[in-house]
Amino acid sequence: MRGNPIFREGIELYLIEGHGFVVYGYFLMLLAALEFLILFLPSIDPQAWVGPANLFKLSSAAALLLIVYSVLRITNQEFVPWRFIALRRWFDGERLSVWDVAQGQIALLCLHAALLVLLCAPLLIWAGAITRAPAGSVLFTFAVLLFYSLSYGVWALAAVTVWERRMESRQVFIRCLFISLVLLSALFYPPVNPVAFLLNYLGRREMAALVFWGWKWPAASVHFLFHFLLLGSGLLLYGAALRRREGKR
Amino acid sequence: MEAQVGFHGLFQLGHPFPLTVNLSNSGRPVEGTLQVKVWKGGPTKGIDPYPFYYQRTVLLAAQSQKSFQFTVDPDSISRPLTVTFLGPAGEASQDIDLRRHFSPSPLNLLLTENSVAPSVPLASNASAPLIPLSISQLPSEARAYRGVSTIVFYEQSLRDLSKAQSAALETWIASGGAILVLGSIHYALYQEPAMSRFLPVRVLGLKRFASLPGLESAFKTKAAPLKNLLAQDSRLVEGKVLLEEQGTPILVESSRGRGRLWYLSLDVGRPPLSHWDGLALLFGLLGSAHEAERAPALTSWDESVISRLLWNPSFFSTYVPIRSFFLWLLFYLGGLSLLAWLWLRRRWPRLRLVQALLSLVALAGFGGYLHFVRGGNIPDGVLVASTLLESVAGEYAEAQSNIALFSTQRRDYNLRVESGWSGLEPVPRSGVSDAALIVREEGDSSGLSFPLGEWDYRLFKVRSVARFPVRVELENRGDRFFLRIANLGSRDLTECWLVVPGQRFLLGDILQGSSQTREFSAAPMEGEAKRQEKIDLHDIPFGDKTRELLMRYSFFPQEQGMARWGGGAALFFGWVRGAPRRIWVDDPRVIAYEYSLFRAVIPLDDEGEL
Repeated sequence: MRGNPIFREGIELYLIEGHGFVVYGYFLMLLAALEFLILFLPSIDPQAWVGPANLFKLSSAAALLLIVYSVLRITNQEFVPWRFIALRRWFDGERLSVWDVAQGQIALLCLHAALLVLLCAPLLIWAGAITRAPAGSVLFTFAVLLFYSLSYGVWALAAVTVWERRMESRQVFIRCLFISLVLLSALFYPPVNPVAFLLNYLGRREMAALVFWGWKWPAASVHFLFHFLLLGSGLLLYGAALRRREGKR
Repeated sequence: MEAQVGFHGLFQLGHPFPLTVNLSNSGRPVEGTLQVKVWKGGPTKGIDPYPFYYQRTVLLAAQSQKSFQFTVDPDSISRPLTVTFLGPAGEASQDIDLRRHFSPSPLNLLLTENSVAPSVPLASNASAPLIPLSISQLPSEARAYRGVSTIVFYEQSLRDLSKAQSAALETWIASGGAILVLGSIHYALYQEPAMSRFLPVRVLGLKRFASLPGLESAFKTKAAPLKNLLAQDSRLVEGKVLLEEQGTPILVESSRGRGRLWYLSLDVGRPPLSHWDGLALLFGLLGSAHEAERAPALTSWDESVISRLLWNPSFFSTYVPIRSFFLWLLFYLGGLSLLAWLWLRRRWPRLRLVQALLSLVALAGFGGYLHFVRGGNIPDGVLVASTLLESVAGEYAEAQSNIALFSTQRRDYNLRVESGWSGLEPVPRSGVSDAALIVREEGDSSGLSFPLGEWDYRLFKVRSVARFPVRVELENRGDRFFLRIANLGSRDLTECWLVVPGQRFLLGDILQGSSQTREFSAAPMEGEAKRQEKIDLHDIPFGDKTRELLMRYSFFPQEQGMARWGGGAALFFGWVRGAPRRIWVDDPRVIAYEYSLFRAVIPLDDEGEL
């Protein structure tokens, strides 16, 4: 992977030059502030006696929102966009194949997601310790944070490929995607919403099963099926867009 | 296994009663658990029925027989009471239908070693059965007597009365019970120290009376005159003489707490009194034995009070590791900032910085985890006991203890309650079905066992009557009040206040063993604006925020109209410093907070005294 020029470009810009540090810094500061407030302010839930009861649950939900949003923005090349080499040049000038480009960009997406999860890990581990959350729940949370980052992040890759020169269109699309799938979907069917699902899972609450054509689908199955479909369709769209770009050279 | 319900098979409906279980072991030694299941809740309580268990560990020697006494308090008798012995070889259980055993009226108990029981026509409880008992059958828990109106002693030696039985009887009297001691020619029995505790007189010997003119004049022509009879000679120790002959007390009444002690020097079990037609008139002088049970002190203890308590930063910062969490945050974010700075300045090799980053994340993650899981000042639980001591007659106070046990862990708790408690009720929470409660009898205290989940809590209310010798007297002389307070107890009263209509006065601390006399103006001073008739108790400040919250939302709740004090009564209250623990958990991982407020309400019609 080190030899992949797109991956190297991302490493150079975000890590060597430090343009990604701003994102990581904001992310950590926001998460730390939220976690401290959740701990300090008693819960409004009359059944729970203080904030610590919900510290891990709410911190995980906050981390989820922040990580997914950060990954979407980083992948969408919203930071120092003028420094990124255009796809046309990779295809024409560097003679990279679709597979090379996809490999580099997806590896970069995975690296950012892993770094964000790694950086927030101590905060979530402390929250889990204070809340007395089982180790299984903490590990599950880390796993789904990575999974959601990829599921939603590929759509930012697709957007960057489809609207490479239309920065505003990409930004609007990314924000609409985030608001509709990560926030508003909870209003229609909570099990497909990642925040609602995580809160219910960590709160050990059963979610309503989906009854479809007489078949009863457990909420967890529906949730993961939806996100695998989201990931798959995002990858398909991204691949198709890359091939279309390659075909234009 | 045999079980006997109540007192010879009878108990008063709606009150706790003793349950004696006799176990016979015809085989090898066996150890097991004896368990009694009753049903609480139900339609009368407005909540779903739930099982309530009483347990005791028992050890039976080979070829032996043993009796175990429980005090049980079912809310409903429509479901059977179940007694179960759980042993290593299996279990044996027995269902008892309680509907065959209840009495709608309170019971009277008779303790006598005489084979012939005297006629005791107590006027106040004509329908109540008189049940003969032996000393060994007397329960050793005060709450077992809650369904008993009067206990009659006649020619009974109390030498075999155990300390626990004696303490239970004293607690029961203080909470409203009555003891009637009938005199006898065997006067030496009445000079025993154990008996003297329940006598308002000191028995000196026997005295012969040719006639009883005082008695005859009291009943005039309603009963035949009594001639030539023996009565106990005695000297008054406490209370008042209702009837006397030639300076000898015949009938004496004394109050102790909310209860009564009566002494009749005549031997009603022997002629001529045993056949006397005026016995009913004589006992009629005693008045009401069973005082109507007083409503418990109006304190509020529910989720809304707990929410307010938890909003208090000084309260939750004691068990939430805010400070250490903040320090860990500073350490981690500071370390990351330093590494980022070193990275951008290229002071260190990149590889070493990556290793340093991974080390920092690992150190912060695992170090913080160990700190917060094993230490971090997070206790397993927090016990809050808030007790209102309401002054009753004499030197006694009725205690209503409100308990909240919070848990940060999923674990079992054993809440210990001091002996003498009379009512223990779990406070139901809306939408939550709590686990079953088990009362374990352990020596001189009871243990209440129940599980709690992490960050869960349970609320209870416990009532008891205890000696609390603080006397408060208020004399109203029109334009001035004279307040006399004597703290004869072993605890200091702090932050004391007196509230009279339109005024409130800070009295400060009243130390143990001290007394104070204070004078206050009843009328507004010249030039002072007209005072409001009612005083808002919520405005009264205390040094401790938790005390203020308990005062406002638990002891004097606004919803019950107690926030504003006025009308025809004065109010004295003060916090008890170092109050004796009534409820506790024997576990250093559970933090306990105890708050006790002593309160005396003094009517202002005449000279008030409490």
